Amino acid sequence: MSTSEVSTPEDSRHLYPPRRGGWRGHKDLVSGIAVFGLICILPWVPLLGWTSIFDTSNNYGLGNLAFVFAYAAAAIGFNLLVGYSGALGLSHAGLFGLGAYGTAILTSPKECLDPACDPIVRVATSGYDWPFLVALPIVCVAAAAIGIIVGFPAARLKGFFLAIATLALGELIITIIRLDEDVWSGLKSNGGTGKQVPLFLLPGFDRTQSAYAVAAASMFLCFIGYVILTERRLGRTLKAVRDVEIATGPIGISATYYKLVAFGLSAFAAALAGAAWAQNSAFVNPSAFRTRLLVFLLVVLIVGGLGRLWGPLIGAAFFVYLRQELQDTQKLLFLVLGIALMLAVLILPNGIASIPDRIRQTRWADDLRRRFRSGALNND
Amino acid sequence: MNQLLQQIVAGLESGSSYGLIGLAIVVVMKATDVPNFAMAEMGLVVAYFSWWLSSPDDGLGWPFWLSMLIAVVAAAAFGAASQFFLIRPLTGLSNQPLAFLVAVGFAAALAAQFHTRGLPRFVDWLPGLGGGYPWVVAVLMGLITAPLWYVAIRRLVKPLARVDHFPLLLLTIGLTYALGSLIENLWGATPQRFEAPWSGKTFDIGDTRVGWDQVVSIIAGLAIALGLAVFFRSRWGVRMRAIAEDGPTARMLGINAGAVSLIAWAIGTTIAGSAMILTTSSTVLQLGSAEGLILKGFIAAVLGGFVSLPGTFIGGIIVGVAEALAGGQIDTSLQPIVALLVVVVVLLVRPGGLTRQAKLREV
Repeated sequence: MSTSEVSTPEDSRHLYPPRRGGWRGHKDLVSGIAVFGLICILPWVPLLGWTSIFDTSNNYGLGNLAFVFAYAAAAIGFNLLVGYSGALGLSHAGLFGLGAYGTAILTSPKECLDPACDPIVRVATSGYDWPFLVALPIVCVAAAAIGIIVGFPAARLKGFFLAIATLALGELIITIIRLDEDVWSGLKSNGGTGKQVPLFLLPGFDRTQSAYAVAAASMFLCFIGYVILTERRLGRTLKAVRDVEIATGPIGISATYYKLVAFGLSAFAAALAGAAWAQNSAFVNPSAFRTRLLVFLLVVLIVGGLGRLWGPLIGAAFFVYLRQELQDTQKLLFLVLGIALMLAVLILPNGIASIPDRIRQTRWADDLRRRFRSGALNND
Repeated sequence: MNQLLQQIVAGLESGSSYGLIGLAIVVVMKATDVPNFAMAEMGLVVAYFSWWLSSPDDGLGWPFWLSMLIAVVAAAAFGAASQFFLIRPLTGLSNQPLAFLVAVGFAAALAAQFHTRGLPRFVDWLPGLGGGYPWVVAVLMGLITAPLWYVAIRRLVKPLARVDHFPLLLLTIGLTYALGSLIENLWGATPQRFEAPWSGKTFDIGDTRVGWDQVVSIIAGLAIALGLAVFFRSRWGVRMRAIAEDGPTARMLGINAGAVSLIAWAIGTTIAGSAMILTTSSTVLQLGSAEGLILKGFIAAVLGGFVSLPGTFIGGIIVGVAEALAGGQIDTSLQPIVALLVVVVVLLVRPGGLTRQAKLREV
């Protein structure tokens, strides 16, 4: 066998390679379930003792990991939209806030109608008293509907014009939430710190463990949904819409329809992540969901790896680690985040998750592979 | 009636700063095709710098007009430097300046880290490595790493394969937050009063009270917009338009695209700096000043279709006046929503902007 045949991987012949048969076709799914299993047992295995930030033996580390999962879940939805369909929808911060606020308001106790009630308590508790597990899917479906409405400009606008329109719409969502701050978000009740979120407690778990479980489950749902949807028709169609939109019409694919589907799914993920985030942070404040949150999500996605399966999780871990490490010097956080985003765009356009691929593509790795293969053949 | 007039004047004032930020964005966009999200933040850096020069209490206390002159020159240099270091490598020109900057910056940051905190937490349990080092040792340790960063940037930063706004938008978003943090580290987070000769003085027209800062903002905004229109008829302005309209052909005719790009960034930053100086001197100088303004600037630019200069400036004025009137006449809570609604409606109904022009850009 000559060495020249080795250098072309099978996949590169196809623009969108078909799924391989057998379990290898479901490699992403299998590895995802394995990692989720690891996440489930982490609280009992203090494996991550090398840094106190992700030390799972105490509540601080668990809370940080729950934030990692919440950001990762949001970024997975973002990844489906930006990485797969190529539509630059930047309304994610608003939809994340919608999930956080929606669940907080729906699950809060009903307004205290007794005139003897303290007015401060009355504002703080004006909610609908729904169970969390009922409120969560309803809020997520509502967010998906709003995401589809936000996505309508996508049918007409391209690239960065779409980015501006969706940025404005995301800001609009937050502004509308802010407008009602006296009515039901209870901003003023806690000295301006925000609305208190009623916590959802799993039986036998304390508050941090429950938040961890909710965040991990949300991320798992987003991850599995992402894998299943992208390895089927939807993923390849979205890629086709992104790369050769002009060719999709003549073969009977409605680009608009698929873009709207991507917008709806990503909005669902964003709201789910927002709800999980609110469970972990216990307070929600509309100003937390403005452009800054968008920058966080962009750092998570871009530094992690745009269009890569593991990008969001890696990026979220990177971001939360950095945020906690720089907690004493808050002033430096945005400097470091900004520089990280710029460097990622400049030197690693596909993020940390693409580093193995980039190493694999170097001449050095090619050489090594060739030498290994020929050596193996000689031994036969 | 006089309340209405007051609201219109206030709307014109804020509208003229929206228009100026929009103009800065459009100038950069036309000449270099970069959607610069950092424009207002760059302007805010200039505003802080001029405040620091002129403030007698917290700064150097130099005469106001001298400070303004220095600030304008510094703004031009700052804009040109941003283009030179950050944007040039992505357009296919040399990435050497960026590599040099990153190497020096990282070496310095690492030296500071070694001095104050020692090695990172996960290795400092190694014997003899914990704790801070004296400056000489720390700087030497930082310098040892410099060639590594230099080579990494030189080898890894590649020009963009095709014209794509997304990486450039991300790059400038990163720049925005890095600059914001830089301001906080240099000048602190407390809001400051920026005293200009026109701050806080008022006069009456009939029974309407008008602030001099409002008059100065509106007139200066108009003057800058007109000056820009005149500039685009000059030699360099024509070159810039040629590059914007058909880059490759203009290059073949011998126009130096790199120089045009540098000049566009210098002009854009100067305009953004003036806009931020005008707004912050009539309100308050604080870290969040740029965050709201950049979105309004983009909205003004959308109204101008990202090509038309008069369209952009008038678009900014329209947004400002509409905001003030909706806030004053209908309901205060409407004020933040108006601009956002305007941009969505305009993008859906007239994606090419308000003015009728040859279609240069695919929306």
